Amino acid sequence: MDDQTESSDQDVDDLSFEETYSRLTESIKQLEEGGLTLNEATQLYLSGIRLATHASEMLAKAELQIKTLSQPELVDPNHDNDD
Amino acid sequence: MSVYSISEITTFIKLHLENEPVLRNLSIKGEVSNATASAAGHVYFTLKDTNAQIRCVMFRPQRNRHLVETGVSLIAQGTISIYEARGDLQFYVEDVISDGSGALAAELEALRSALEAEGLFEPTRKRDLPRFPRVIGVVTSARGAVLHDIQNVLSRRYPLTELCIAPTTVQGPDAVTGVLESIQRLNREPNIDVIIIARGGGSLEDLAAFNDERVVRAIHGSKTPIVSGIGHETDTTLSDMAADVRASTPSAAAEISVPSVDNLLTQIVEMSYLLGSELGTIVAQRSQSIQTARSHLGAAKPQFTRLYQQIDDLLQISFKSVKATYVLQSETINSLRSRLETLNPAHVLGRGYSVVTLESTGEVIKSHTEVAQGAKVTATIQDGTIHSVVTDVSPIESEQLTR
Repeated sequence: MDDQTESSDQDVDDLSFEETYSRLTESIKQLEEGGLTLNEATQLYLSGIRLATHASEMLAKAELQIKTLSQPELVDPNHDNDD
Repeated sequence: MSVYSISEITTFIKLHLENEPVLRNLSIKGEVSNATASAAGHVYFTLKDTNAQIRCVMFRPQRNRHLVETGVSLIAQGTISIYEARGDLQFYVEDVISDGSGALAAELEALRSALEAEGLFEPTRKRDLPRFPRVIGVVTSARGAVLHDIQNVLSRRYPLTELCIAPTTVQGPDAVTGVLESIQRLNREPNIDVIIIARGGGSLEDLAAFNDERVVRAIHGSKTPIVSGIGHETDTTLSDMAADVRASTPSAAAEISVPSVDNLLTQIVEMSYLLGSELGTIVAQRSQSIQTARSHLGAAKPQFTRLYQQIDDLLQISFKSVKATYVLQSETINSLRSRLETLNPAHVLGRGYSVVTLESTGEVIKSHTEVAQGAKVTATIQDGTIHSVVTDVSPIESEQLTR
């Protein structure tokens, strides 16, 4: 069984959205493939739900971050008359 | 000082305008905007350049009315006067011709075919965009609606991303240098997953920077994938053709660059459900094995229907709570965890039952006919296994089974 299925809540909280999503997909794949003991299947389910929770929370809490690179000197703002 | 009525003064202005030889028959060059045709077949529009505009009307009998379309550049010939009912200064257009766009279009077409022959627009070299971009670079004007639109789309669709703006003028003499510089700077920034190049709609001249060979080559050479969203649906620039993905507008470019939070949440809910149903299948399979074993031992039928119902309830709970709140609270998780514990078939063993398997095959023994005297069997109980040798085998009488 993968280490990921035994990861703690704290470990899951530190994952990026992409990683969380990919681990969640992987958990489902492992469950679908079968060949697991009941205990392994239950652990996979629980860690999968933790991943789903983490992913949903990230989506619900996210706010767009914006940064602006400084404009180089050569640009004359008087020419910036586009819409 | 005299006091005039409005009619008197507009008539006075009209007379002056119509008696001014320059205004009586003249040609004006400009870009058409807000062109609308009335039911009667007249065409109303505005001719504009970068600093000024004038209202125009072209009445039905005039030829070439079909050339008047928003966004095109024209030379219009007619008379300036005042429309008294509204007090509007108006250009009464009698004829129009296209303004040199033929030459410009031919030049553009020549460049397009040269770059195409060189392979700059090859579909095979276009790259896929990352599925979950962490940072999106944007090349556009720091002012105006375009940047605002892109921010709005990203905030709504996928606020997990970060927007890195490389502002530049996108029109006029500095536009080419500015756009090139912005593309280069974003390529130098670490972690940028995709670059959006965007500009609002405009005439062929307004979009000139995006048909410039240097800009097209910079897009082709960008190490970061580029999504273009330049002008309106109908505008296609050479930059669009060189980009990895072409979107019809700046907002569409932002849409294409990111997944949608709503879709992702739906997927996550579905995946939570799938996790539960897969586990449910596994639990049901194990339960079935135990049930079979138990019935052969002559025990009373256990409450498996209740167990299945509990699994269903559990799935409903996880499904609904993710969907309703977008967030499964930790208490839900804890409750799921404890309820799952109660469903664990290991607990059936905990109540004193065991599963007996044949040591030679590992198969669960379901009937006394599957085992003979002297066979080695393993009984799995709550906390271990018992290995035994069968000393005697006998069937259970039917009245004992139905008891």
